[in-house]
Amino acid sequence: MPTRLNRDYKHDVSFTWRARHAIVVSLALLLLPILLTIGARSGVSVMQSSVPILIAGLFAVLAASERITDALRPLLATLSLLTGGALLVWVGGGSLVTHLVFVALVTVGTLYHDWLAYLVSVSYIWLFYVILGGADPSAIFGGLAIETPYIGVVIASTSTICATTGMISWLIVDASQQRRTELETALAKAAERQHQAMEIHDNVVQGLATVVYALEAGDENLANDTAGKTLDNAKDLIGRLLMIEGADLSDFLDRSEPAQERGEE
Amino acid sequence: MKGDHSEHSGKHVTENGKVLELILIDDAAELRGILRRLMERSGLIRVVAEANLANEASDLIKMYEPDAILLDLAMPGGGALELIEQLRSERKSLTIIVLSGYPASSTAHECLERGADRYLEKGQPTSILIGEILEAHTKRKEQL
Repeated sequence: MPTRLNRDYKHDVSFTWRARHAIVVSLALLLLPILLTIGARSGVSVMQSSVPILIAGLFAVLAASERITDALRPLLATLSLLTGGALLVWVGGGSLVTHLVFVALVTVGTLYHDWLAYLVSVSYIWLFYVILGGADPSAIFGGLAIETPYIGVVIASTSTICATTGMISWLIVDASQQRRTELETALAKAAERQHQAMEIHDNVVQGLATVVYALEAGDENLANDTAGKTLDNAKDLIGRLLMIEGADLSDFLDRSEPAQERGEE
Repeated sequence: MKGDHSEHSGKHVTENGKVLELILIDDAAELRGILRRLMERSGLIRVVAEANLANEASDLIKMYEPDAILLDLAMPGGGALELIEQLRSERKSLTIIVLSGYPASSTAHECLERGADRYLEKGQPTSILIGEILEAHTKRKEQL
C-alpha cells in the first residue's frame, strides 16, 4: 500500500538525483573552456583539441537533455567528465596535478550512486591509464613515467579505490535511509492501529455504559437499542481496521481460546 | 461508604440544604441523557446544563456557575485535559470529576495532576458515581 512516507521518500530521492545531476553536468560543461585555455597555453592547437573537447561537450549536452532517459543521463554525464579528465591530462602534459584532478572527477561521478556509471568509470580509468598509458607513457604521464614505472596501475588503482569507497558509502547510507523509512512507515501504521483501537474502545465502552445505566433506570428499550447500535458500530469499526491492515480473514478464524473465555477468568 | 444515596444525602446535601448543581460534558448524547435521569432521580444532584464538546463547556460554566462538572475525557476535538487545567486555575471552588471510558491506571494520574478532583470509570453504578461526586465536592469546599 503506498503511504505518504513512501511517496515522500521517492520524491526526496528524485530531488537529490536531479541536484546531483545538475552538479555533475555543470562541472563537465565548466571543464570545456578550461581545457581550451590550458590547451592553448601548452601549445596544443585548437584543431587538435577541438574534436575531443566537442565529444566531451556532446556527452554533457546529451546528459543535460530531458529527452534522454534518466537511466542514460548519468552515464553520459560520467563519460563527459571522464573524457574531460583524460583531455586535461593530455593538454596538461601529464603533470601530477592533472592526474589528481582526474581521480577527483572519477570520484565525483560516484555521486550518482549508479552501478553502470561506476563500472564505466572504472573501465575507462583502466583503459586510459593501463592500456593507453602502457602504449604511450610519455603522452599520458610525461616525466612521471620515468620516475615511477608502474604509475598507470597506481593511479588506476587509486581511482578505483576512491570510486568504490564512494559506492560503498552510498550503499550504507541508502540502506539506513530505507530502514528509517520502513520504521517510519511501521510507526505510522502502529499509530493508525492505535487510533482505530481507541475508537473501538470508546464506542464499545460508551455503548455498554449506556446499556448499564439504562438497565439501572429500568429503560429496557434504550438498553436494547444501544446494545444493538454498539454491536453494529463495533463490527463496522473492526471491519474497517481489518481493511486497513489488508488482513486475510482466514488468519483470524482460528481462535486461540473460546469466545468470552477471557471475561470469565 | 460508596453506593448508598441516603447516607450521602444526609452527609453532603442536607447539611447545606442545597442540591449539588452539575454540568455534564460528554459527546455521547444518550449516555448524558440517562445519567441526567439517574442523577436527578436521586434528588441529590441537579444537572443544570449539558455540553458535548470541551470548548462549549467554558461558556456554560460561566453562565450557570455550577458546583461541579462531570467531564468525559475523549471527545471530538479533544481539549478535556486543557479544560481541567484552565478551570482549576480560574475556579478553585469548582469540583471537577472526570468520567472516562479508559481504565484509571492509564489516564487518571494526568487528570488528577492537572487539577481534577476524582477520576471515575464509566459503567460504575450511579450510586457510586453520586457518592464520589458529593464526597469530592465536600473535600473541595473544605480545602478553600
